[in-house]
Amino acid sequence: MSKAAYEKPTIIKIESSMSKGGVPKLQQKIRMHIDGIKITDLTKEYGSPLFVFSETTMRRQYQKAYKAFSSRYPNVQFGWSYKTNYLKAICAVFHDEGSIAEVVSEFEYEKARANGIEGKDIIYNGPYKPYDSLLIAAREGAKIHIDTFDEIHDLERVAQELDMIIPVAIRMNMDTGIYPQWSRFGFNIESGQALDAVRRIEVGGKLKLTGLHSHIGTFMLDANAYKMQTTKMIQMMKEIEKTTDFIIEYLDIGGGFASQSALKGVYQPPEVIVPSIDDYAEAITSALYENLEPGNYPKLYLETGRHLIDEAGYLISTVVANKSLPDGRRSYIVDAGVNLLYTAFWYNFKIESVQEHKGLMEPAIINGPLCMNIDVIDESIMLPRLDRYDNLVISPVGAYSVTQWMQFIRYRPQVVMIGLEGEVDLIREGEDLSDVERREVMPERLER
Amino acid sequence: MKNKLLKELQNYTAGILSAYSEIFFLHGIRVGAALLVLSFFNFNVAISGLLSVIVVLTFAKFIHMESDFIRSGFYVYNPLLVGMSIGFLFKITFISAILITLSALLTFLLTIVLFALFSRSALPILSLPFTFVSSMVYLASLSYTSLFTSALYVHETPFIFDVLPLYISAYFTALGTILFMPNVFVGVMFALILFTQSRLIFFASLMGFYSGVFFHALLLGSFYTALSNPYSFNYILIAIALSMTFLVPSMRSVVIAIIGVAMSVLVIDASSAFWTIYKIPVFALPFNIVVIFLLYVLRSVKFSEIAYEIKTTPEKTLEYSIMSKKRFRSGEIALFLPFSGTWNVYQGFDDEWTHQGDWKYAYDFIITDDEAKSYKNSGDFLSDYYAYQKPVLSPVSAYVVETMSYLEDNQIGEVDNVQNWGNFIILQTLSGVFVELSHFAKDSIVLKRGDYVEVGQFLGLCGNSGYSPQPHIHIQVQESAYLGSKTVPFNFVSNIHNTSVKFYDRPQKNTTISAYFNDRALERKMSFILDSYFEYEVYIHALQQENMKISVGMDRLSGLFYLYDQAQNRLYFSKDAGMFYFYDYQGSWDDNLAKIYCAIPRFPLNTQKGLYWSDVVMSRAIEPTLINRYLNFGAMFSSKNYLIDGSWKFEDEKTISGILDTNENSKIRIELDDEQGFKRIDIGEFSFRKKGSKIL
Repeated sequence: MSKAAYEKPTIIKIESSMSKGGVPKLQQKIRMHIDGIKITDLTKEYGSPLFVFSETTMRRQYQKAYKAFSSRYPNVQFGWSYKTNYLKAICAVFHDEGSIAEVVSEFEYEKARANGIEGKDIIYNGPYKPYDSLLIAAREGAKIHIDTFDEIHDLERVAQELDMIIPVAIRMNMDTGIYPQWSRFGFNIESGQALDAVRRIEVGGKLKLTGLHSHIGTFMLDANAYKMQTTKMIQMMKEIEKTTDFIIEYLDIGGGFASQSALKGVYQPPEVIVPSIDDYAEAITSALYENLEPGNYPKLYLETGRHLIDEAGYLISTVVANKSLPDGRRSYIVDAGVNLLYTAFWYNFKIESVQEHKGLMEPAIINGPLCMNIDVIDESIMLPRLDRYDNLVISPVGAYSVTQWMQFIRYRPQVVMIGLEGEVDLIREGEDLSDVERREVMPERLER
Repeated sequence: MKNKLLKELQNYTAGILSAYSEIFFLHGIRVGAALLVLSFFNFNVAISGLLSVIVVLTFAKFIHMESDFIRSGFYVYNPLLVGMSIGFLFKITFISAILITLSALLTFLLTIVLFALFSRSALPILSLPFTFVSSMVYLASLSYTSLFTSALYVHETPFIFDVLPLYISAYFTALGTILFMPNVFVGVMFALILFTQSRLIFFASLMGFYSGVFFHALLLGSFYTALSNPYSFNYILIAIALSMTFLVPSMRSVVIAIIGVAMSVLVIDASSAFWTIYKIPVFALPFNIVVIFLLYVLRSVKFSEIAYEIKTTPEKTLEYSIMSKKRFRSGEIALFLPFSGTWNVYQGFDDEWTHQGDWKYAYDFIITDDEAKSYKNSGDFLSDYYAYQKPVLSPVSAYVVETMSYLEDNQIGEVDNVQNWGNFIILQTLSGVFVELSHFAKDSIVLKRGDYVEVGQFLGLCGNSGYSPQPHIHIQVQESAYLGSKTVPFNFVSNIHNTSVKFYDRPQKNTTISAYFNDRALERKMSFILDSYFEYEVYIHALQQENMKISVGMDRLSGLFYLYDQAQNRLYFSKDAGMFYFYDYQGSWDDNLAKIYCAIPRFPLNTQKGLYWSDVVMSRAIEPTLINRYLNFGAMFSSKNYLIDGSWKFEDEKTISGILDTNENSKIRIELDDEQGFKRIDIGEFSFRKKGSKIL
């Protein structure tokens, strides 16, 4: 065993005004297993950094959410929000549970089709849907949610080209009492724009309005906003059915349910402020029962993504170096940075070590491996003194991380899923140079 | 103008002819015509009968009765009988014609009055008006000396058919007597008509006559006297009415009919002794008394064979009744599930815990998880229970007659045994069914007395008030509006167990069942609007044979909707109770419309992939055999040969596959249209492919 390198001692005052009886001893956060699989075994086998997904958690979250809604309102359909996480294996689990697909681009549409999802089981959202993709989606019977007047125009051309009446829904935005109000997607209700869009569709005679969609925001901490949203959508539905021949077959209330992740700048922990899925379900279904004509209940679509997957995802990283900063804080450099965790800009993750360490907790900063000043995973965390090559488990990282990650400076790592029986499957291989260069074309004149 | 006159004339003729067939519990103009022709065997009787019918129809027209009443023959057969009975006594002269006219009108009025009185208890008037007025006329005419001197009709027998032994000829004579022609030849003709129209009625006439004669002979001690009794035609009428017409043909109905016939022996002998003093015949009084008495009692006890839907022949009544019992559990109250999503049957009917005695017909529902537990965590708190605070939805469309919502929810481990029912709602449907739901959460009921709720409407939240050890929904159907009144059996219109849809089912204890709402898209697809039509190309063994046009029609009298083809076959459909279904077919079973009935007798209005269900269809539409075509009365004993089981499944939201349990295992494939109705229907070697349509 080699002798530990010498390091200059520092004294830091750990401030706390919690109690006169002394500072309560901070608990070390330890996680040795994920779904019964030892984390060090995982890194030994698959390397580090490593994304780990728990199939058990995904299914449990889905079933809980489905039950919360279906036991209150039976006509419920979940649509898996592809942008949250579109790894094939992840999609497969949610489709297996009964979700259809919710996509927001032609790329995601193709992905859903490649996953074996039929057009009719795809909800096609998004502010930009290229003409050719609309053509395909209309032909395959997808649920197209119109975002702009220009898109109405495009779809009418598609209808003409295909010689068919295309069933569509419109996306709407509205004031639900939350700030900021999302107004850039779809047609505004309060200004009368949404109704104008409906009339425009009716006059065009090429499209058939069968659904209403709206998505009021993301990481919504107020369940009541959904009640307001649902109420306004039903009022709209009634107005449309009264003044036109359209029959609204479904209401899509989008996604945005929060997960157990801690937003930066929010003081309380998620356990305190994040509503439960039952709270969301209660708010939405009570609005349905209060406002709909009894017995005439449209289908309810939900595009829940984050809430179903976030807690199922872990990122295992390794401390590759450590040093002390001039202000006395400890800096740990880990092998996973904002290249893998774009979401680190707005979340404070839970960071756990895989074994207990001796010694007092001290202020530390966790930096990523990028040669960029902004590469910070956590800028203020209390940790015991960690050793080089210790593992840290960062969670929840199931949502958006493996879709928003970048191949920047480093390769993207392996992704594994732990199955219901504890089987560990590689669901995405780590990248190498060939992946990065595969699309590159070298002009001959520059070859050497 | 000419057309109008022609139409009038048609109505008239239909009215006259229908009246003749009504007498034998038959329907239709052709039978009526045959009977009318036969009645001319006794010219005087025939003319008198015809006269009274014409008088009545003219009068009905004069007072502007609806033409549908005139056509049906229902109000006219009693006057017809009265006319005939007078014609039996007096020759047609100016004076007797006056007598006939007046009596016919009197009978007509009495028919309408009695009908109004009897229909309240859903009882038939039979030939009561005739019996009453005829007796009156006979009594009155005793003092009309001018009639007796000028017009008394002396019967001469044209030719006697005495080749037959008495025990056979007596039956035919009795049949003839029904139309005042106690003649073997006429009887034979009547028997032939009965046999061609309905084997069941013919059988009942034999059974009634000989069992009546048997009982009469036992009491009299002489078969000869029993056979020669002029009133033995009553046995025939009683047997037909009881075993075939007002009760669904079955062994139990036959037993009732025999009891009725036996009782009528007493009435015949008693009344003939009494009536003879005043020189009036007994007519059909015994028949009327026995049948009306029995029906009143059987109806009040809801005898299971009561025919709620009387078709044109007993065979059809039987078919309809078998199908509605098998397919819709008719005669029993059906509710919708009072919740959303998947719940578990905690207690069923006659269950070990509280569903006992007067309160045995009730269901309790809870929500359970994969481990069959109804709670999470330790289960020490109300909020641990999955059912707690979940919406309770209305199982019927009804008025709220009583409700209470202020009781506290019991903590786990306590029950309220003073206010057993807890917070509750009692609903009363428009048809008078009382439904009670219990154990709502405190202050969760959003309704008050007098509110009207639709099926599926939010009533309140599931709670733990009253005698409730854990949050659950209690539901029962009861006899009256009062809390705690006696319960009655019921079933649930539809429920899904795994992916199996059960219709009119009573789920077993501990089974998990789900409710569903109608899919709006599918519901719209199956909303057929009057005067829309669909054109299909019909393929047999993949070869195009013909075209078929199916239109949407509505019955003017009942307001019921049906599909009809070029041959005017009718296939009645409905779209409620969470399903689209066909429930009645009128027409030729060889025609293509009957195939469509068999291809998709019903399906849930919910396209959840993999949903499957079973049903039955009439076998003669698929595999016509001698037995199920002409000997269909056999279904009276066992419906096995007459029904085929089938099962169907949603392959995806547009496709239904199915299979019928026939010898060839007929395969079925249904493609629903994007716009409306069916795009393609394949059944066995038949294929119907939509060619065009007009959708309103």
